[in-house]
Formats: sequence, structure tokens, C-alpha cells
Amino acid sequence: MKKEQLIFDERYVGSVAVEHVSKFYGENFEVKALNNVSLQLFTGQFVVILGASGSGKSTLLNVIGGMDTVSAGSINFAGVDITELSDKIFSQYRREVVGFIFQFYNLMPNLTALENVELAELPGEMLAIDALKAVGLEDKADSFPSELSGGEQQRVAIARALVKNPKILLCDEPTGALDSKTGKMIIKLLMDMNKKKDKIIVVVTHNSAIAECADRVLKISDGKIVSDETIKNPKSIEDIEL
Amino acid sequence: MNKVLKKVRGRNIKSNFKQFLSVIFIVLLATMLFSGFMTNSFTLKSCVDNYFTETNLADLWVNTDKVSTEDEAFFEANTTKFDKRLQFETIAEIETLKINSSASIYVYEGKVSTPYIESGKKGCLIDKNVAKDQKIQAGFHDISFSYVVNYQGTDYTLDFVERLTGTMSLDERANTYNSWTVVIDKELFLERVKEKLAEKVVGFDENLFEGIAYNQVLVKTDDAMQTSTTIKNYYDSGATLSKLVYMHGREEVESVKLLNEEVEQSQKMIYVFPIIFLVVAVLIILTTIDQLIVQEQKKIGILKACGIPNKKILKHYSFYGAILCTIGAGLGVLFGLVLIPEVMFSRYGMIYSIPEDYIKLQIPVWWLVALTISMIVLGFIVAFVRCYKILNKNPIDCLRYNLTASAKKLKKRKKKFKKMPISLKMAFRNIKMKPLRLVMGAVGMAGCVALLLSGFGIGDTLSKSLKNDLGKVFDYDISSTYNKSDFKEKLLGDERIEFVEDYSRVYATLSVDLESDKVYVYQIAENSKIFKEQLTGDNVCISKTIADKFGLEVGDSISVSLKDKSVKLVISSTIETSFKNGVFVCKDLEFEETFVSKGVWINTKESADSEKVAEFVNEINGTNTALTIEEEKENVKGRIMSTSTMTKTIKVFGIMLAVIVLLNFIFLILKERTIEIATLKVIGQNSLQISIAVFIEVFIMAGIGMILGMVLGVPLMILILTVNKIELLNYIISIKFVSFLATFFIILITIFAVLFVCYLKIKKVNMAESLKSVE
Repeated sequence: MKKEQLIFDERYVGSVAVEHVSKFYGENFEVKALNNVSLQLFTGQFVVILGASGSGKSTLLNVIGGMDTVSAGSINFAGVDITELSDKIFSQYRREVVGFIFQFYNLMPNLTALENVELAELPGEMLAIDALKAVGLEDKADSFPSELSGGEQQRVAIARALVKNPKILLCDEPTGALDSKTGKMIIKLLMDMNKKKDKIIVVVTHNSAIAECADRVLKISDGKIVSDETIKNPKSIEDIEL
Repeated sequence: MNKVLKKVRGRNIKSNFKQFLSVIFIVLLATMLFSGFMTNSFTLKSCVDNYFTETNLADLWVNTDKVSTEDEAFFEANTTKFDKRLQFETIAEIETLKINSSASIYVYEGKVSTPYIESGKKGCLIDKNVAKDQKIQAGFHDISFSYVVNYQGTDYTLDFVERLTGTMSLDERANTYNSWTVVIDKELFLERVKEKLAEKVVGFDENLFEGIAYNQVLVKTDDAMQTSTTIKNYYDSGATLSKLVYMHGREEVESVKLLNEEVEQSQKMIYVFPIIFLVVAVLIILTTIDQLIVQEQKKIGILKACGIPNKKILKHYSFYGAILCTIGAGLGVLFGLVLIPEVMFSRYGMIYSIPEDYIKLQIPVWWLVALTISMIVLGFIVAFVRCYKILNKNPIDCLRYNLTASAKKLKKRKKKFKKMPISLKMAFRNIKMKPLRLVMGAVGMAGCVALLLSGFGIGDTLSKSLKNDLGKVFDYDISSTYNKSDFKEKLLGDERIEFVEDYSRVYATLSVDLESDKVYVYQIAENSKIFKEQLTGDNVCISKTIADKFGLEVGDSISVSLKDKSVKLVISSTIETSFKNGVFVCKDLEFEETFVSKGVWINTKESADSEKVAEFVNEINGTNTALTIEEEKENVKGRIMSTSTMTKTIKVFGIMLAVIVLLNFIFLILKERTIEIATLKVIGQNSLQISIAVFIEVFIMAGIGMILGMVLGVPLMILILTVNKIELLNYIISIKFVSFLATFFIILITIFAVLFVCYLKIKKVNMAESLKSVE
């Protein structure tokens, strides 16, 4: 029976618990994208997931973000097993809890920067224009994505994720389509957001340099977490080369 | 390289399967109609030709008072072939079934206008459709009728009871609607007459009996015009004592006329409706294939970047257009020539008595090949032109193609739209990005709406035409024909009947200067309560259709003749009628009674049930037929069945095309916007919220199409009716407001059904799959 209501237990709002999660593909489930993965993420963490192509890092991001279902296991956020949610509540979870940032920004081409951010606005949270201000794009509010550079588009995407003040911010190769300078700017923006320590930021990347800025680094191989390292003194973004 | 390209092609077909399918369907529907109606027309023409040739349909019908031995010698010498015949109208009964009706009895050998025996054997044959409708079984049921025979100067009424030996189709009576035709073999009839006379006349001597008085000669000739002159001269010369009553050619035989009209109408049908459908379909095909190739722009860029020659890429993509059209046209032609003639002939079979042996599918091979090739070439050219345009770009421009490229048309937004809901903004901007798709979609929808509306309009026109004649021009509850003088007395005795009005009808020749045609002449009561136009004294009213045909106006003179009697009349008014066309008079024209059909129009009291009164009238001895006005309407509808079939086909195909146009439009949108949809889902919007922008876009497109279609539907209906005009019916063009509403609601329901499919598709969009990053 799928859950029809999303009621969080305030005591656990700050954590995500992934327990024995597996994700299989193929007719006979021959592809194991995630194989019995367990981990816990806490508010304030800036987590980088590293891994080769096809290792399962994006799949892990997708199942945490409610973009994909699991084949086995459970994912708990604030006391709610999100794998048990109905479609409708899953949408609510994505709308209220999770913010996504994609490699190719995925902005609506027919909406202006401001309107793209407005799409994700939630009552009682930040205003879209303030989110754009936060990423330094208030002067581009009325521009369409086609009128923006790649970096600007990604900043709009960050503003869109930011506007609803998500508890979890999931970034899938956020610098993958950008030059190193712009990429650095984006990572800096994410790190600045992390200063408030009010959300979990997870960045999936194949670029190990980004991992040097993180306070936790997970390495995935063949659908399994092969290393989980906490960095006591992460580097500043200015000190690394992307 | 070719091998890889082939693989790409195969996989593209798989991934674009739904769009490809919709193109195939559109081509299929268009070619199906065209090939179907064309095959039907060719088959019907060949069937009618075959029928008339194989059964030796007469070229001339010579009606005399008596065919003498001299006459026979004359016909032997001056015609290719001839057959003498006795023809008379009588009330025939099939007692076991308690059925009686006015029947045409033909007694002859059958050398000319040979009856085609459908079942049983020669002897006493009844029309196959009548037998089927009345559940009459040859070899089981008897038919009884009376005939007056002269023996030694005295007339004897002989009552015959003859076992039906078989069922048949008679070429000159192929339109057996409401008419009984019985063909009796000459030898058998003669034998029966002698038997009956022997029973009735004491001392009957076979040698003194002069035989049956044949009153008609059926003539086969190579030159009907010349032969008719020779025949006329012969009778005028005094070489025979017989008298020529009336002579006519095939043009005056109703069934020949109707069947030829059907052939003509079937030919016209090809050039209106299927062509309009084809044009609409071609527009849709153009957009769809064009959009399919545009979506392939990135792949074309990759192929170009890989150094594959433009020629190869062009060939590769032009193949899509060609292959889709080949499959669609191939299937369409096949289904068309199998299904449509089948449907049409089952309809023809209800109206006409056509021997199945003569129905042989005639496939217009070259036309169909030309049609298929045209569709293939069309698909090829569209794909080629679009691909050629793309190939003119740099590979990098092709590779950069995505929605953002189209979005370049969008400039900074105007403040005034700031308050507009976001879904509406998205819809409007999507339209701005792809205006051509909206235009083509709207044109497609307009075509569908116009087809549907014209279908309803034709229905309204037929209904108005019927209501005009049966209800407005003639306002009665029951009409009945009778053959016994005490019929009316029995009728008036029933308290449910309010009043009864006499009328008579005769099929006479209307002549104006050198032109002439057969028309019905109705003799109606003075100041009739039934007929709309009040006639008194010498007043003559004429149907507008006939007046228009002869270029007549009020005050013009006409001549009406039957057999040797001709009457001059002056038109005092015209009236718009649809199928009860004729000349309406109130004075007695004193035509020979044998040819005058007598009837009454009955109005029942308000509280009475017309159907029950009609049943009562039918049971009165002396009634030929009694029909309520509704039954009469149904009968007329039966006679215009092919037009009704066409109307239904138009409606069904209009809806089918609308479904395909809408699905196609939606599939194109969804295919193009999968990433957008997935992103919106990730943001937390639910499927319904996401669907709204698409719904608005569809509604705008369909709305424009609907308005256009409503405007175009009326002229389209007039065009269809004008081209398909038949002599039987004068269309009183009409389209009701309710038809506009019905069209609107049917299209609306179709839109909602398709939008539901769209909603399900949006719901199914897989976020993780659609938004995969590139590593």
C-alpha cells in the first residue's frame, strides 16, 4: 500500500538513510546499477560521489531524489520511507524536499530566467527574484535561456533549485558542460550555499578535483560504495584546478 | 557505411514508431478512400454494363394494343432480335403469408431482357429482393392473381394460383423497391389459361382460342433511333391493324436510369470527397514528415561530421518519407479495394436486384499504381527537401540544434504578459517557436471539422428535403393506394380518422417545345387540406426542379401526354419540392384509368396512433399499400442510401482523421519535449500540471482548426451535394445549428480522448532516463 501523505518526523529532518538499496535493469535484472548500497547523509554535508561511467553514481542520486524507484531496500528521509510513496506524494517530495541541478541545465527554453525559477517557487519560501539575486543574475531575469551563456544558464538552474530552499540539493555533473572558470564559479556557489549548513548537498561527478573541496567523498564502483571518506580540511575552490 | 546507415534507419523507425505509424495511417486513410471509391466506380460500371449485356436488355419497348402475326413478321425483318410480351399490373397475393401488393406480371419467352434466375427454375419467377424481404420461398409459396382473357368475343376473368418456381433479377426492373415483379413463362401461362377457360367455359374448344393478347414487343437493335423511326412508320402506314400505343427507349426505363445514375454518381464521388480528404491528408503528411526530419537534425549533423557524403545522407533520410508512404499507400489501396466496394455493393444490393455473378471486382490498376507512386514521391520529396535544407547548414549548427535553437525566436518578454499563468505563457511561446506546426495542425483539424460538419449538413439537407415534402408540402399522416371502390367507405367508418382526401397520380410525358421528360402528374382535390399550394379550377402548380429543368416560369404553357391523350396546361405557380416532384392539378385530365394510380391521404385524430391506423388500413380488402408518413420517409431514405452511406463515411473518416491529426500533433510535441517534461517532474510538478501547457497548445490549434472547419464545412457540403446531385432528389440545402453543436462536441470529445492519452504519456515519462547526464 503506497503512502498518500507526506508527514515528516521533525527529529529526523536532517538525515537521509539509504538502506540496502539495489537497482536492477534488464529483463532478467542482469544489470545491477546499485547493489545493496547503504549510507547515511546529514544536513550540512557537502558530499561528492565519484565513480567511473556506469558505476551507479547517477542512479544513486536519482533514487535519493525520487526520480527513480528502487528494486530493493529503503530510503528514509525524516522518518519517511520514500520508496513507499505514491506518485502524487513522490511529486510533493520532489517539490518540497529536493532540488536538482543537471549537467545540461534543463531550463524551459520558452520561459525567461525568472519564470524558470518561478516554476519551483513554494509559498513561504524565497521569492524567485531573490534566488536570481543570490546567483547574481537579477539583471537577466527577463532573458530567455537562449540569450544566456552556459554558466548563466547553470546559475539559473541553481536559483531554481535554491528558491524552494530544499533539504537536499542533488547535482548531477553540474560542471560537465562548462569551461573550468565557469565550473569553478558554480562549485563556489554551491559551497557558499553550504555555509548555512541547512541542507545536504550531493554532487555527482567524474572530476576528482571537485572532491578536494568536499567534506565527504564517496566512491562507487559496480553499484557498490567502495570508499566513504570524510575530509577534515577540505580545500578552498580557489586552490583547485578543474 | 551503408550497413551502419541501414541499422540507424531501422532503429530510427523503432524509436519514432508512433509518429511513423500516424503518417502511415493518414496515407492509408486517404489512399483507402480514393482507391475504394475508384474501384467501386469501375466495378459498378462493369457490373451494370455486364448485367445489361448478358441479359440482352432491350433497346426499345414497343407498347401496342395487340401484337399481330404481321407485326411479328415486321419485327423479324427489321430488328436484330425481338420478343413479344404480355405485361399487366394486378393485385397479386401470396395467401399463405397474407401478403398482397400491386404486381407487374410479365409473360414472355425471355429472349430479350432475359430474367436472370437466381434460384429455382424457369416457370413462375419472383424478384429476388421481394422474395428475400417478404420471406417468400420459391417452390413453397403460391402466388394468386386475376387476368381477363377474351374467348369468342367474351371477357373471362381468370383467377390464377401459381406455385413460384424460382427467384430472379430482371434488368429493366432492377430497382425493385416497393414493387413486385413476376415473370411467367409464356408456355406455362398459355397452358394455365387454357385450363382455366376449360373450367369456366362449357364446351371450350382450344382451336377457337386465339391465344394471349401480347401487348408489348421488346426490341434489340444496333441503332435504336433508326429502328424507332422504322417502327413508327410501319404503324402509321396502315400495314397493320394493331395500334402503336407508346414506344420508348432505355432512357425511360427507371431502373436503367437509376443504375446509370448510380454509376455516374460513383464516378463523381471519387472527385469530391476522397480528393478533399487526400488534400487534407497531404497537408498533414507534409508537416509530419517535415517535423520528423527536423528532429533528426542532430543525427544528420553527426553523419555529416563523420564525413558521410551529403548524397548518402539525403538518400538515407528521403527513404523515410518514401517508405512510410509506400506502406501507407500500399495498405490503403489494398484495404480500399477490398472494403469499400464490399460496403457499397451491400448497399446497392438492398436497392437493386443485381445478379451476384455480374459483380466482379474491377481494379483500376494503373490509377492505383499512379496513386501509390504519387504518395511515395510526395513522401520522398518532402523528406528530401527538408533534409537538403538541413544539409546546407554546417555540421556544428546541426549538432547544436535543440529546442533552445527554436527558442531564439523568443525575445525579452513584454511586461504586460507578466501576470499571465505560466502554462499559458509556455503554450503561447511554444506556438511562437513552431508556428508552422500549429498552422499545419490547424489546417488538418479544419479539414476534419469541415468533413464532419459537411457530413452532418448532408444529413440535415436530406432530412429537410424529406420534411419539406412529407410534412410541409404534403401534410398527411398516412398515404394509401387502393384498387377497390368500396375501400373509402370502410375507411371512413373508423373513428380514429379525421378526414380522407383523394388524389391520383399518373406517370406522363411533359413536353415543352422540343424537350420532353417523364414526370408524375398529381391530381389533387380543390382547396386541398393536404397540399400546401391551394389549387382551384385550371390552376397548375409545378415543382421548381422541373420548372428549372425546362426553364419554365409562371404563365408558361406545358403539354402533358399519356398514350394518345395530350393536355395543354398553363403554369400558375411553382413549389419547392425535393423528391415528390411533378405537376399538380386539381381538374381531371381524363387519362386512361388503367395508368392512373388512385390513392388517399389520411389525417388521423390527434389522439390516434398513426401506425395502428395504418395497420388497420392495410388490412382493408382493396388496399394496395398504406404507409405512415414516417414509413414513407424511411422508404425515401432507402432510395438515397448511397448518399447516406457517403454521409456516414464522411463522418467516420472525419473523426478518424481528427484523431490521427491530434495524436500526431501530440506525439510530435511530446517527443520534442521529453526532457522538459522530465525536468518539470523533477521540480515537483505533477503530470496534470505539466500536461496543461500541452493541452492549451492543442486547444489553441484545434480551436483555430474548428473555426476554420466550421466556416469551410458549409461550402464543402454544397460542393459535395452539387457534384453528387441525382435526378431522384432535389436537395434543399440546409444545415442546422445543432449540427454545428454536434460537430463541436464530437471534436471536443475526440480532443479530450486524445488529451487523456497525452496525459498518460506524460505520466509515463521516465525522469532518470530522460535526464541522463553525459559523461
